[in-house]
Amino acid sequence: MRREANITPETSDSLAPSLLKSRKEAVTIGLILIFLALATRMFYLQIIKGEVYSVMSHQNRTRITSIPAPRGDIFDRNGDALVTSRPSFSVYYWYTDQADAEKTLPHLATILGMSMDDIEKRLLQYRGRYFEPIPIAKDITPEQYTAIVEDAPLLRGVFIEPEPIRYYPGGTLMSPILGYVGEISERELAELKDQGYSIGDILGKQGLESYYEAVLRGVDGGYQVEVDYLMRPTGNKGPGIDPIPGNNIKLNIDLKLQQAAEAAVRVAMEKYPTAKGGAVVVLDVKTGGVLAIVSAPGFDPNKLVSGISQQELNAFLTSGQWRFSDLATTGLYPPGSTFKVVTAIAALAEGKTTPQEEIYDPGHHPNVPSLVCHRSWGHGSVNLAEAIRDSCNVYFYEMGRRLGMDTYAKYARELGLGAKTGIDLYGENYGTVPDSAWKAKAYSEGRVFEPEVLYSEHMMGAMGQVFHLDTPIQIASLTQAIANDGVRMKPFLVKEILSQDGEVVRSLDPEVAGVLDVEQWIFDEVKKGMAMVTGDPRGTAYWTFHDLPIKVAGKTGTAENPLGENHAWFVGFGPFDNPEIALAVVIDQGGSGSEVAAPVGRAIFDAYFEPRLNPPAEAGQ
Amino acid sequence: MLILDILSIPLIDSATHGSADHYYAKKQVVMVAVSLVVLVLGLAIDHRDLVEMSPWLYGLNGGLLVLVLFAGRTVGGSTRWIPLGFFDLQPSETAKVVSILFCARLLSRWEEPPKGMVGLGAYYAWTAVPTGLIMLQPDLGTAMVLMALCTGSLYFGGTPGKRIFQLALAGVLAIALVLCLHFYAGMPLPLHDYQLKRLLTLFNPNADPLGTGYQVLQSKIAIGSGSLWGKGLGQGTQNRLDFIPEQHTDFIFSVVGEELGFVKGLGVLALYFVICYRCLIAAVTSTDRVGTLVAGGVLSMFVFQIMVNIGMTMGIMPVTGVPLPFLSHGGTALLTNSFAVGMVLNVGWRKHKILF
Repeated sequence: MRREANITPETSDSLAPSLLKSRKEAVTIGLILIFLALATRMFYLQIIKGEVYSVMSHQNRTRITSIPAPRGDIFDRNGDALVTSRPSFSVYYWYTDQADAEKTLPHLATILGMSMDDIEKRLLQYRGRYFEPIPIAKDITPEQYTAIVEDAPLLRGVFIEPEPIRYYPGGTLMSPILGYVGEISERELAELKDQGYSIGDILGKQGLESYYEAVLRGVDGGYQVEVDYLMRPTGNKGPGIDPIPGNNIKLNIDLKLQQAAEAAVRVAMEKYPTAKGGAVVVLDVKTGGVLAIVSAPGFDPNKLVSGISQQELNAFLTSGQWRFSDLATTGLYPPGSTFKVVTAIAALAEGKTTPQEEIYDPGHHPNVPSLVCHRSWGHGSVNLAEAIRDSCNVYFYEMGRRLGMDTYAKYARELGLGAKTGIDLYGENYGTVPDSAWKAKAYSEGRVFEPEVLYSEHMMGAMGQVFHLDTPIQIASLTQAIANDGVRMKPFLVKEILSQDGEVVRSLDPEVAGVLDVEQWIFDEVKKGMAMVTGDPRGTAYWTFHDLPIKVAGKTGTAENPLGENHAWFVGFGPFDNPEIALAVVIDQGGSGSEVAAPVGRAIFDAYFEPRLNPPAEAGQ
Repeated sequence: MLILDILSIPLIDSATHGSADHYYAKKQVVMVAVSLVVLVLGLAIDHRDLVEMSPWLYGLNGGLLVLVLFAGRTVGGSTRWIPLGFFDLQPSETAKVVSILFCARLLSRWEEPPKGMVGLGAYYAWTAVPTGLIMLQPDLGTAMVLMALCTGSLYFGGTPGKRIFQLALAGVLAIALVLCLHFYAGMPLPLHDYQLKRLLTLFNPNADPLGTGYQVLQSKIAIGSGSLWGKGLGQGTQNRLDFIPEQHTDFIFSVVGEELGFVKGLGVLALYFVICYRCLIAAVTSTDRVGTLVAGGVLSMFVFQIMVNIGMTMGIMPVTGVPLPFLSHGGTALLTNSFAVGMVLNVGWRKHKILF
């Protein structure tokens, strides 16, 4: 059929010959004009200006330098620097040709004490971008600096640029939370290319450095620059862009309090060598602002920033001297007896007991004799406040039996357990608040544990054992909520974002994370018990706190750890009458809460109350 | 015409050979061989059958363009390629030929060439779909090529030149207006920041001094330093030192200019001119409307790409990612362009058969 169409052309199918003719003429003229324009431009560039461009290409002297944007600093609430930058010198290399590189680079490698492999790897990374300088080494020593300057004629293409380098004045202080910066990896680059990152860029790798990367980073600039015969910048700049510095951030952290908390944790860990780590979170009761946050042992970010060998790093990590993970927001621990306050609130709110009801503790629970109290001869008859004071297991076994796991789990969740607190850090853990639905799912096959909640588990769960796992920040947040009569504030680190000139760009307001809606007398009763922990001679932390002139409240916890030593807990708030701070301390495998963790809490209260206990002498006196 | 096409092939090979690894050169040799097969394929199939099939191709290509957004390989921030193992398919390239065919079908079906708002609106709506999908990748250059070629087809479809001129003018004014609104009233643009910077480099070399500005400067140095006779294949210093990013793809003409020089560079231009002119002859001598439209569409595609690409390497056109037909490295483009040449030859041959 098609063939037929070919044989008898349908003239009506083609356009009118006159139209085709006009199209042909118009397009021919158009084509000639376009090609003539291109040819003219070629003539202009190659013949008229050919000489000029030949010279330019022969000694191509225009290169591109990049000027990294100064990264924003991180301050504490009083403006003391936690993270800043210090001057340093970096070595760059401009590739010209292979012969040159073979002469120059081995010499440079000797000066810098680097292997040629490392340098060649660098060169390879920059293939196809040789118009840019290739960073060879950062933060060189004064000796290396002098050697490079003296040998300049032998080091064609090598030049030194002053460059700020990240500096953490506190060393390990707060390191897992502050984080560190490093050169962008190939994987990160592939992910972030859209956001304007390129090889060699510095990227926040953990903690606040990573969470606030976009705020701190700024926008890199650069210039087309002229270079001399040794490929050193002559100082003549072509067009370019100035870098836009990143913003600074101001934290809620109080450096003095932070230092005291770090020191106290360190003392505890040295005193109790079974301890593998420690975490502290101190919150502002009214706002949720994080006043101090410790995760020990941490690491030294300064070592990471100026370059550390893999062996050195491994040595730090395997010896336990360094620990990158942030135990305060990602470490999971059974809450142990600190959970008893949740059970107490639930029991009062559900009407399962009254503040007056006394339970007799003979040293074990009458229904399940294997569930013993930590004091083998028992606490005798105790009411709710006394049970908190004594951390009486039998009282809370009984409350667990009366409430059932699902009921007190509900209260735990309303107090923020089992969910992220929402702190401004990546990777926060959820933890586990066990209940019947959770257990049925987790152990559906009946392996290891039964899918149903056992009679004894209802009882043991009431004191924070069996399956309970929480992060220190969750427990701190819970304590803050109790101190604040049920209003739980979202913990937050960054208070303000500041421009380089110190103007406030953005102010972060406190946010309510949740409200536990129970009657006020219930909080009063539980707080009364917590005050007895530190204030009543029978309290579990009395001997640690008896000489503190300001009344505070607390609760100790010694959480059983099937994998090793017990975890030591202490939570507290103060001053009792109008709480300002709430805190949680955990010493990973530290042992007893009252012995190991409570003194850390005491040290933090001391540091916090220091200005009002020993007011600074007035000037002039 | 076939001879001319073959003549352009050693040029591709030598140019890529001079500019990049042997890997690219070898790959290019293979692709050139395959492209010849594809050319014969384009020659063998009646272009009218292809035009009949074009709605299916349109749908299939549209599907691939959607697929590439989700499963495509991303290079340098844009997602353009579907990895097939031995070969990365770039559906935005095939979209060019498919659009030529589809536009030809649309225009040949309508009694009258579209002149009014409704007709033109309907016509452009069909092309807007693949264009929009390609913009999402993002690939501004190819999107522009699609708009150019369907406008070219319109011209060969009989829409008066005056109307086309008005359309082009309206388009330019609209772009100018949008840019003004963007700069003075902060209107958001459907463009990435870097795309905008590249475009503006034409008017202000300092708009992007570390990227496009530098690239164009180096490209001009490369072409200019080629002078009358060039530095010889593989001898270009600009080229060898990697001064020009993308020199084996979008900036291939800077290698031509630097290494071949003015005289041979003119030769290359002449080859392109002949190809374009032969497309034109095929279009205006075709005895059927479909043939005119197919050849006219191919012509528009080639002219636009040649003009924008070569112009950009010499600093007289904005920098957009438009490859140079036959010379730029890129498998799908080479196959597509060869197929397009095959189709045009087919248009020419059908005519001769009729004359017998």
